[in-house]
Parts: sequence; C-alpha cells; structure tokens
Amino acid sequence: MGRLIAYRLLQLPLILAIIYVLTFLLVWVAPGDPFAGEKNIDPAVVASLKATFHAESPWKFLAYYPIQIIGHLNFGQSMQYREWTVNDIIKSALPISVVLGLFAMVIATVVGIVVGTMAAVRRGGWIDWLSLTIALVGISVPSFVVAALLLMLSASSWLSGVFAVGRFERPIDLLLPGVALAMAPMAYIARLTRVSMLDVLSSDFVRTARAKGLSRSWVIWKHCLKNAILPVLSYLGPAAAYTLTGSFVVEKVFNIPGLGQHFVNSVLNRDRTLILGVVLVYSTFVLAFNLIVDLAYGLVDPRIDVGGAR
Amino acid sequence: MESPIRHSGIRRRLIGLFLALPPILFAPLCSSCDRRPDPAGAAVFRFINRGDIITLDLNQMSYVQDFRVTYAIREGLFSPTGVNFAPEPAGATSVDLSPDKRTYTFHLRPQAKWSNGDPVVAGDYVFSWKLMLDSPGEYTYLLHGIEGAHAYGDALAADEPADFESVGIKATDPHTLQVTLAKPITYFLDLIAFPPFYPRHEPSMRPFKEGRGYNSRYTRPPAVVTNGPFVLTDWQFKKRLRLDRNPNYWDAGNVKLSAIENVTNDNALSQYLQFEAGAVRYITEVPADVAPELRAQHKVGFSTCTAFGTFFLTLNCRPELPSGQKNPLNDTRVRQALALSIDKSFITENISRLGEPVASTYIPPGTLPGYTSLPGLGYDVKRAKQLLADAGFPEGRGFPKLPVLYNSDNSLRARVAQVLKQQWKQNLGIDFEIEGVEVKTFKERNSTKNYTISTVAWYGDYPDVSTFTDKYLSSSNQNDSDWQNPEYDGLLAQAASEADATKRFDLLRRAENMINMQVPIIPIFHYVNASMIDPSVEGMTINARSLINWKRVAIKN
Repeated sequence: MGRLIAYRLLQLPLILAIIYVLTFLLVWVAPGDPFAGEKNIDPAVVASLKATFHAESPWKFLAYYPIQIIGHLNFGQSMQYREWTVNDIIKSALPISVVLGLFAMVIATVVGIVVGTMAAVRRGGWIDWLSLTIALVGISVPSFVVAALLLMLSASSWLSGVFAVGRFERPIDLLLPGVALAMAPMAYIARLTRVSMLDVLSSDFVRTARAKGLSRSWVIWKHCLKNAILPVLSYLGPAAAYTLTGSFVVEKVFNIPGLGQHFVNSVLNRDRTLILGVVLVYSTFVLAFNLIVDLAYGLVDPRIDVGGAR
Repeated sequence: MESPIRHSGIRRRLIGLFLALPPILFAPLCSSCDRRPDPAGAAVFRFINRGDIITLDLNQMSYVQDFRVTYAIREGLFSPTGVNFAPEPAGATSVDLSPDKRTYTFHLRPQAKWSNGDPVVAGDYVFSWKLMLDSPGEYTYLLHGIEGAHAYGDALAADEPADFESVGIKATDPHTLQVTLAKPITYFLDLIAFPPFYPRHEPSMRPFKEGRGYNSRYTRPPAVVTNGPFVLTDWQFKKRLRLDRNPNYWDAGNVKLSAIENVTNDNALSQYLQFEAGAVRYITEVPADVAPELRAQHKVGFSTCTAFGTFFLTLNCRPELPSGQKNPLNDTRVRQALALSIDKSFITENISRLGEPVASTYIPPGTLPGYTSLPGLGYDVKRAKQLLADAGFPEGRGFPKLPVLYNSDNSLRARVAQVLKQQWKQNLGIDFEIEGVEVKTFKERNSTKNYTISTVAWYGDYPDVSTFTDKYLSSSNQNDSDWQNPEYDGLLAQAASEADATKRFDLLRRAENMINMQVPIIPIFHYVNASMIDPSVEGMTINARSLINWKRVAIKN
C-alpha cells in the first residue's frame, strides 16, 4: 500500500502538468478576448492590459505562470476581477465548496446505503418501492429544480429565521444546498447498494452465519454490507468529482460564494488565470479522492491487493 | 470468530467520527461566520446591486454596479446630485470659466478631507487624472478633450518621451485646479461629475505601485482611502461590501444612513425571496426573467423608468460580407426596408413586456433636457416593399440568406431574433437565419465586424448627445456597423467646436437624424430600468441613468 501511495504521489505532478497544458491550449484557442469590456476597448488599453497579465503571446504566458505556480503556488491575478488574485479567490471559495461537497457526499452515502440495504432486505415491500421512488426522483429531477424548491422552503414562514434565505451566513445555511446536491448521487448509491446487497444476501456464507446463530441485523450490517459496498466505493470517486464540480447550479440558486461558480464563470469570462487555477485545484482534489477510494478498497476487502502487481 | 466486543468498539468509533465530522468540516468556515452587530437602532441599508462588483479601480471601471458603489465612497469636483441629477459643486465650491470657454478654474472646498483625515488638495486631482492617462482604461478617452492629453497618451503608448507639463491640468495652489481644454466642451461639468475624473490619495496607494500604474488592490480595505460620504470597510469577494458613514466627510452631518451593505446575488428567485423577507430593501435591476411578471402583478415596490439606453440592431455596412460575398446591406434602401418592416410594438408588448417605448430614434426621448430628436422611420410595410424592389429585390427575390446574430445568454435577444426572422419573412419575403453565440464570442464578432446583423445595445455614459453620436464617427473604435459618412463626421466636428449649446444641439439633431434615416442601426426599443424599492426607503428617485444620491437616502422608522 505504501508503494501505491508513493507511486500515485509521483504521478500527480505529471498528470497535473498534462492537465495544465491541455487546459491552457483550450483556453488560448477559445474565441473571445478576456480583456473585452462592455465596449470596444482602445488597442492601447488592451496592449497595456496584456502586458500587465503577461498575455501578449502564449509563450510569454507559459514563461511566467507555470514558474510562479511551481515556485510560489501563485496562480497570478484574476483577469476579470482585477482586485483579486486567483489565490485570494480560491482561498475564499474552496473551503465553502469542499464543505458543501463533503456534506453532500456524507448525506448521499449514509442515506443511500441505508435505504439501499433496507430495500434489499425487504425486497418487494413498501420500503423497496419507496427507495425506488426516491431513486427515480433523485436521478430524474434536475438539481436546479430541487434547489429552487428547497430555497422556497427555506423562505417559508414556518422555517423563518432558521436559514438565511439566499445567503451564506452560517454553516447551517449549507444544509439545504447539501441536500439538493446529494439527491443524484444518493439515488444512485441506493440503487447500487440494493442490487449488490441482493446478490450478497443469497450467498452461502450468509446462510451459514445465520445458522451459527448470529442475529439477522448483525449479519446484514456487518457481513453483507462489507461485501456489498465495493461497487459503491468505486462510485465514490466519480461522485466526489460530481459534487465538487457540479455544485455550480446549487451554488447559484442558493447564492453560495463557492468555487463551483468560478469553474463555470471563469470560462464564460475567459479569465485565463482563474480557469487554470480552478482546474488545477479541482484536478488535485479528484486525483486525491480517487487515491483514497483505491486505498479504501484494500481496507474493506483485504483480498484486493491495492499495492501489488506493479 | 471475531469478538463482538471489538466490533462494537469499531462501531462506536465510527459513530463518533460521524458525530465529530460536521464540526470538523465547518471549523474552517467559521472565520467568515461572524456577523458584525449593528449599533443599536442604526440604519443599515442592504441592497442587491447588479451582478458582482468587477472592480473599484477608477482606471479599469466600466460597469454600472461599480459606478454605483463609487458614488457612495468617492466624490469629484462636482457630483451628479443636483436637481434632476445635474452636476453640483462637491469637492469644489465654485468654478470660473474663461471668456473663450476653454479654461476652468476650480476652487476646492477647504474642509474636504480624505477618510484618513488628510485634506483633499488640487494635487490629488492632478495625480488621479495623470494616472488615467499613464495607465489607460476604458474611459481614458473622456480626458482627451483636455489640451495636450491625447498627445501625451499617444506618446506614452508609443514609448516616446512624454511631458505632462504640456497637458492642461495644473494645480496652481493646494486649493485651485486649473483645467484647459483643447476646444470648449459644453458638457464638461457633466464629465467631471463622472468617476474617471475623481481624485485619488497617492500616499495610501504607494505600496501598490506597479510600472506606470497601480495594482488595483489599492481599492480594497483596509488600505483604501476615499473622500465620499461613505467609506469601504469590508469587502468579501462575491458576497458583500460594507460601507460605513465617513466621519471625515465634509458634509457628514447631512448623511442619513449609518451604513450600506451591497449584497451580491445574481439569482432572480433568491433576490425576490430576499426582498420579500425584508432582508434587502432595494434591488437595482430586477432580472428580465421575472420583471414582467412582477409588473403584471403590480407588486408593491416595483417601479420602472425609461433608461438612458437603446436596444437596436446593428447592420454591417461594408461593401462585402465577412464571407466575401457582396453585402446587400451596403445599399441604404435595403437597410431602410428592413427597418420599416419591423413591428416593434409586437416586441415590447409580447417579449420584453416592461412598457418600453418603441424606438424610431437612436437617442431615448426625454432623457436629455433641451434635446428632442427629429422623427425617424416608423412601421410601413408598403414603403419597405417598394424600397426593396428599387434595390433590385422585388418581393425579396434574389436576396441572400443572411444571419442575425445574438448572444445566447440573453433570452430576450434570442426571442427577438426569432420575431425578426418571422416578420421579415412575412413582410418582405426574405429568409434570414438566426445564430446564437456565447457572449464573449458575440462581443468579438461585433467588434471585429464579423457579422451581418446583430442585436446590441448602447447606454449613454454622461448626459450629453455626444455619448451616443460619437459612436458612429468614421474614426470611432465603437462604430461596429462601419457606416462611414463624411457629412456626419463634419456635423459632429462642427458641433464639437460650437460653444453655443442651442446651436450645438441643432447640429447634433441633424447628425442623429442621419443615423435614423440612413439606418446603420435599427432602433427597436428604449430600455426601461425595473427596480424594487421597499416603501420604508426615502430619498431615492429612480431615474434614466440609475443614479443614487447616497447622501439623501434614508430609512423611515
């Protein structure tokens, strides 16, 4: 396992470098001028702005920013928001997005696994139908609809004072956005758990365990779940990426100053420095999460040798 | 078999972890959770400005939301705070104008102070205006009417030696500023009431010096020093700006509010919910997705006012289209036919639905005191068909299929483009295609004239006709239609050196009418500002240019 971690950590800078170069190419060839304002700007003004941002040519850009990033972890100044550096923006927005994302992940995983397991155990019963309904709604209703409904709920008179409506003031204000963001992965996790749980429940060792006199719930929650959870674990990597980068819509509806909106708006603004900064930060998170998921495989099922065969 | 005791230990630890997780997760956020308690009974005016604040750097500023905050924290020689938002003395107490109307001598207000207590002196104006030229931005051109300013800026841009002594901006003593213009400018006091002409405090900006200019971060608290009725005390990116009353302001006794909070929120639904919940008292621009509904429901606090801007189509007048084919729009008769065959009231009644005045002229009527436009082209399908036939396309036969460009983030423009396609087909028998592109691409296509017909808008910057008419000078960088007319250029040149305001308006009226009749653009409607103001707010008058006299705003108890 130590080898795996070392290997992945060595890979990380290389993968990030490739992501940086690819993103840079896309950003540079995209039509539209990052310095275009509301009106056509005088060429002298554009020239002076380009010089400020080392953006006269792709070579000047590449000669300046990557060194700043490697040497000082400095992503430079935002081309759109001239008072703020990319580091400022990431520092203020990332914690909010990470908490929102993790919050959604916790809700999605806990509720998804519990509902999925119960649906498998009571197959065909009302709870199975309920879980199917939740899954259908979670997967088919887009998050902006769920988010808008929850926003209106937070503004309703019997919840008045509990949440700051359309603002982020206290951590509790992330509760409803977290629920909105959790809907889709939760539904998916519930269905995954149910299917793989049904598979496990019919296996021989379950019958043996019950015959030995272990309680039903012990067998289900301890023995079966450990086996049934593998597909869910492998889904957690992509799910984490989804909740982190997919928070744009939810952030927009609830007016939360997270990183998700910069991920989209920076591209619309052609804010090259901000795009590259946000992409690198997100990539690091996704890579780290995938590593954690791989390590978790080994912990849940010792038969999987996560470090071997290399 | 494994011991159940060990399992329960794991379980307990897991449960413990889950319980501990939320506080651990939320801990890093709590630095931003502290809400500043407001002094007892003091009035904090919370409002939702249009979108994000892009920048508060006077050199870079061009968006209305940025100007709105600037009017609260900074002040120029004159401020747009008089009757009907006319300029009135602010940082200056009086001004003398030379007989040739070229030299303005401003006498500064001796009591005027910066927010740190330093006196505001003439040198602060010279510093700020010089900086506008040294590090040019979108509005630097407004200073080019000052003698020697344009040449100075050009020399700097070409890396040639430039001497600021040759520019007509002089501090003759700490409280006297003398400005010499190249030619008389009848609206010069309107210009100096506009933020690009406001003073800046050099000592507080010194740590931000970069090359010939300054890093825009000088505008952020706690470093920022300003001279307006309020001072920026807190700026949380994309979240809020807090403005507190400036105790050092010369007229602090007449400032009603103790604090202003500019809330960032660009979601229509949550804006509305916040207003209804009383969390904010003013929404400066109600989003177009919800405004017509609120208007139809006669919501309390909803109000509209004709804006200082026009929505129009710009027509590419070059002899050849971007594709290389011959451009039929190069023929004035074709452009007139297109203009005459649009039923604009259909658009305002069914699409925009805010009671916008249908436009037959470029300049919004009634927004400039003393100026009335000559009538433009109306809706006359018969004449349109005749003109099209005269141009060689009877019943639209032989007319190439041309694209109408719009920016796809704007649903109103998308729908207008569909209506145009349908109306031109029905009225003239011409087929158009519509093309939606993403907004930055849209701007680039317009400015590089890589379009045929495009849906655009223009808002005036300062209250004068020239803020509209200058756009269509042959030499103008803003002339997206590339319509070039020596007679038009001549009229504007004449107007620029005409010191008599009435005669000048006559010349500009003729020039504007050339635009309306020769149709480099087709005006569709004049914009309407839709805002929501809580009935508890006093001292706010909605107006065409969306100006606020922050000193006068108060909250009724």
